[in-house]
Amino acid sequence: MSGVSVPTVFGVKDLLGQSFVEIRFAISSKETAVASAVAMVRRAMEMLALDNDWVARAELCLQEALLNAHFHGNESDPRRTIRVGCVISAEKIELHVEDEGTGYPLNRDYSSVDTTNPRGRGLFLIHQLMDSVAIDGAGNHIVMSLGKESNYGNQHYAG
Amino acid sequence: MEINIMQADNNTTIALKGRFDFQTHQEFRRTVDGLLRSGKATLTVDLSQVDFIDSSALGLLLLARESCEKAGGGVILNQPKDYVDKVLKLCHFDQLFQVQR
Repeated sequence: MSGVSVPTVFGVKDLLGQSFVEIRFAISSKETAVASAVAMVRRAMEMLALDNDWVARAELCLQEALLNAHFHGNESDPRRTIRVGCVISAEKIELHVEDEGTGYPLNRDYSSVDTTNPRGRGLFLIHQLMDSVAIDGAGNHIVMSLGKESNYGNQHYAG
Repeated sequence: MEINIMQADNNTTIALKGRFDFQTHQEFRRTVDGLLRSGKATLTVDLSQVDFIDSSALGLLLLARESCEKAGGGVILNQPKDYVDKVLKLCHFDQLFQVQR
């Protein structure tokens, strides 16, 4: 896939016997690579036969976070990289997206949206659709999750 | 995404199929601009075969609405699937557009 590193994939069972998949990879900051990355993660979610609502929410939020990383974080510079990490199971989905930019404005209120502005809806949707959202590092690493609390927060994903 | 234009009496429908997202930005804008140039200012966007919608597509719908209203018409959203409808409602599009369900 164009602009996508060879993913590191772990498929294992945890101590409770739950199957989960962990995927780490990096993409060039390009729209085509964003589309490939979303398709790859969607296939992983489909392989685990997750709830359709979870798949739809996670797919949309991953795409929104990647587009923010590409357009705003990396300023559409294809020499820059976006790192992605996903932990996917029937119990939880956790998505990490990290760009090379200066970070999200942390003091902004993402709980409401300017209904008539054609832009600025991506982060609002992420906050509405995911169970928890955190911004780590220098503000350039977003961690989004559905389901139970996890132990995977605050990791930085090398592609 | 597939885009088909259907004309019946005075109604112009843009029927979309597949993913309506950032990758279809130019094609959708070209379609709307072409219809406006040919005097079609009231457009129905048929979402019944759209499986996925993102914030870029929502922005495109708002721009189309603005252009059509300036030309004396408007945009109607037709039969969104459940998940697409959920996203439209989250972003209050049911207050901005006529949504036919």
